[in-house]
Amino acid sequence: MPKDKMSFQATAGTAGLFVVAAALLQEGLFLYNHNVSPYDGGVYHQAPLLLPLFSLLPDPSTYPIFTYILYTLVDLLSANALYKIAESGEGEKRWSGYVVAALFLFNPFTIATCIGRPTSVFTTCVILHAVAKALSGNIFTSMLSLSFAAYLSMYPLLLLPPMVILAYDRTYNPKAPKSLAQLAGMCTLAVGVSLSLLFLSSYALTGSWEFLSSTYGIQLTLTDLTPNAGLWWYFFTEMFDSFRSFFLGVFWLHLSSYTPALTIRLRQQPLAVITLLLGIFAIFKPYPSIADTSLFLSLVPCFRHVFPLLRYSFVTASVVLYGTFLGPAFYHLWIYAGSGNANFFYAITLVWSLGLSLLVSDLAFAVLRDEWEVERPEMRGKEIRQI
Amino acid sequence: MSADIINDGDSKPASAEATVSLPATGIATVERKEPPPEKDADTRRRTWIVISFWLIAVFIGLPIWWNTTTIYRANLPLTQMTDWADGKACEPVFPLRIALDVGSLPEQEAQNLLRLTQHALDDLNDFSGHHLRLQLAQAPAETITPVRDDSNVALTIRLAPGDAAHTASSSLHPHLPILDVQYPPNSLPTANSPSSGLATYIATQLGSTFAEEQNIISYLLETSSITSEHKPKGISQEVVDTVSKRMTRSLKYSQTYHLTFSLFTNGPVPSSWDIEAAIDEYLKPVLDMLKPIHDFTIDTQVQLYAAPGVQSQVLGKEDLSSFINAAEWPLSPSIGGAPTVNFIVYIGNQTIGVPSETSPGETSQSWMIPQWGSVYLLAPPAEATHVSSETLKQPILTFTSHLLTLLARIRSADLLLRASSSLGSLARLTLALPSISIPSNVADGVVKTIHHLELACASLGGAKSLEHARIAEAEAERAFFEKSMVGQLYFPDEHKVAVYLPLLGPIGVPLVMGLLNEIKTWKNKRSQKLKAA
Repeated sequence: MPKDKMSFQATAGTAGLFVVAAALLQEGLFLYNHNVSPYDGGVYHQAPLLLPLFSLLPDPSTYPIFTYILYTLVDLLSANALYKIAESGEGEKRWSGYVVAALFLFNPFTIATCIGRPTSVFTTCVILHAVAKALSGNIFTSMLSLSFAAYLSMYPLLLLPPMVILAYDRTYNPKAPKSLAQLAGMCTLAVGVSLSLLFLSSYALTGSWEFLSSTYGIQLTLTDLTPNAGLWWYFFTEMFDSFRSFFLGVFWLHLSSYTPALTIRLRQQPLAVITLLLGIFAIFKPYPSIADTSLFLSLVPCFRHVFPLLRYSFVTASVVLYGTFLGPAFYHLWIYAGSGNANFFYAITLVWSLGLSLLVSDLAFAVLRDEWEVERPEMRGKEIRQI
Repeated sequence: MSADIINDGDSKPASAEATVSLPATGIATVERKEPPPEKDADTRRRTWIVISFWLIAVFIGLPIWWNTTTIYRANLPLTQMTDWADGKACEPVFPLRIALDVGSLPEQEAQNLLRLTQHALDDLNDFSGHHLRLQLAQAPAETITPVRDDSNVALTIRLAPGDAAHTASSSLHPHLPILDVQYPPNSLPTANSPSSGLATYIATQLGSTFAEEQNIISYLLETSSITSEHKPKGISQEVVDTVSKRMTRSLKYSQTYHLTFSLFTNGPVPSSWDIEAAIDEYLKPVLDMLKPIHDFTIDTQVQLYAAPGVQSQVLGKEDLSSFINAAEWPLSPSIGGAPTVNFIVYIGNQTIGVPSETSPGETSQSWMIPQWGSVYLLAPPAEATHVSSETLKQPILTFTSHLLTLLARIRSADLLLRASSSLGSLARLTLALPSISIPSNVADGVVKTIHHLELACASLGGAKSLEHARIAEAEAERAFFEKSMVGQLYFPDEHKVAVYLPLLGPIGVPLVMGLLNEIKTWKNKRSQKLKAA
């Protein structure tokens, strides 16, 4: 879903297109309530367990207020998790949990996401809770949350290694007898068991395994090439058919190859690993949206202490703003006005991704520099060069 | 991200030290300070990072690459395919059985006549592909129905003794495949005579009756790619021209044809027509006859105030081609996949000025458009608003004859040759492009094609053969135009560089450089260790 485009269109009042996110869920819900497989319509690609939740709500077309309340509540729960995450940090140079939560709640991307009512807010919520629980030492709650996130969107599964390390660092002191490998095995087992339970209940709910290919299969094979803010759709519209599956593999591999390397490199700062990975996902995911961006941006304020070390903050902010404002405009010019073409819109999504990757790499640099300065306090504030 | 951030050494204490030491030693060597040596933990960590990338690339990336780009080539029976294409697998022989109904002649004389006539036929015919074989009729000719029965008899010759004073004469039955021959009783061959006037006469008559069919088969074999000894020698250029003209007129073979009957009027009336009754009465019999070969779907339409492409009162020969107002008349090129044959009745005041001389079958009111359909100009009927079934009789009969022209008649041979040549093309393609993938359904199609070709070849001339040839042709076409293969036809190997390089270049360079650096560090360390030891 090009949710960023959509939301901004709606706020600009150009089209009701951005309700699509909610409308797609509506379609699945309608089919579900009429005892038809929710995936028959070919537009609903969300996890099946969301359907009973939404069918509990009164009909959104007559009582939309209940849906609004639900989404507001989910956002508030996410903010609550963020508050805990921010409060768990140490050091004098940091923002309080209220500031971090407010920065999330009043972030225009978050507001736009909430208006769009996509299911990704649930993913955001459970990921933040997984982090918060891992920080407070509730390993199994954390793993359960992560399983929910993986069940809803699949890609959060890649957050498992840094999450385990985060939980390990917070729970056991270095002298504790329990080894990291032991904990990792237990966590993997917990995630595996809870995921299989979720899958089994989905199977019981829909009566077939069809949901696997309709939800995760769509992400893995990119069958829906609707333009969005990501980099995949354009690439695969231009791809030779015989190389399609190969490059699908390459793109997924690229996405997942960051996890082990970042986890090893930033072994001491697993929260930074999670944040950076979320930023990378927001750029390189198959169907990214501003919900992913807002999730990444919500964790960035937790690194207030490295902000002075950011080198390109002005450029990054400008590029992201540039993409934010021009993206919806270009989308409108292409899809509605017909005065631009696909390249036109793709160019602006490239700018958008460039802005985000600048932020991710700058943050990574700042975190590394900070780590190094902790190690060598005499170098604080000095010019450095990478060799 | 794996590179560490290291102090460049532009730190003040060091340079201050250097300036201090200058006056003391007097040597002006300001040495660039080397960065402090990396800690072992850092080096190890970097090694791990490089290894993690390489593990993913080797253990997940390589299998993905192998699995997704391996070209699947199903085994094709290439030699068999080329054999078919070269005509080695099948001798295209069309044996036609001619029954000889001798009436009241005694057995001995009948046998004698049969032998002599067959002999004369063989002498007359030098083309082995088209073979007439005589046999004695089992039953009286009247009982033989026009629909082909099991005996597969193409023609029955009914012999009847005639006037002794006249020479032999013959006439074709208007509806049944019967050739009536009247012969003077004294012309019957005697038991031992080497030849007979009657036998030669019958042979000549048969020859001329089947001359057209023979010509078409000869033409087909001639123009096909088959290089076989069965190829007929020397068919005249004239024959080639006539047949090829006929072939270009006819529609491409299809199992189903859509017949579209359209009534166009230049004014508000007539607005209705009895087309259904007219089709039932005049066209249905022919369609029923063609049923084993083709299916037909029929639809009709009426269009008022239809202006033709040419407005002149009298249509010249050159006007005929532009008469159809393709832009405004709703004549869709095709409904579904099957080709459409258009039949247009135009009611107006126009007439054709020059009746076409080249094709005498066309009246001054109608003409045929090759591979498309035909047009009939009808004067406005007396009953102004309605066109009756009788008024439509002549148009429909004309359309019927046009339809028969449009549908070429020699089908099994044509289909057989076409399927064979598709197989040949596929075989050549497979050999020419070693990197093209061949899905298993293509191989299935080829096997099916060959199977049905064999069956068709075994029963050439019969209705079964047509059916098999039809299936074979359809399978061969499907195999040849397989979607996934067509896309790869123009994909040379150089393109692969263009596909891989932009992606694997940027990813591969840091990966390889990282690995090389690691190996270098490891070697240095080892040599240092050796030195120390």
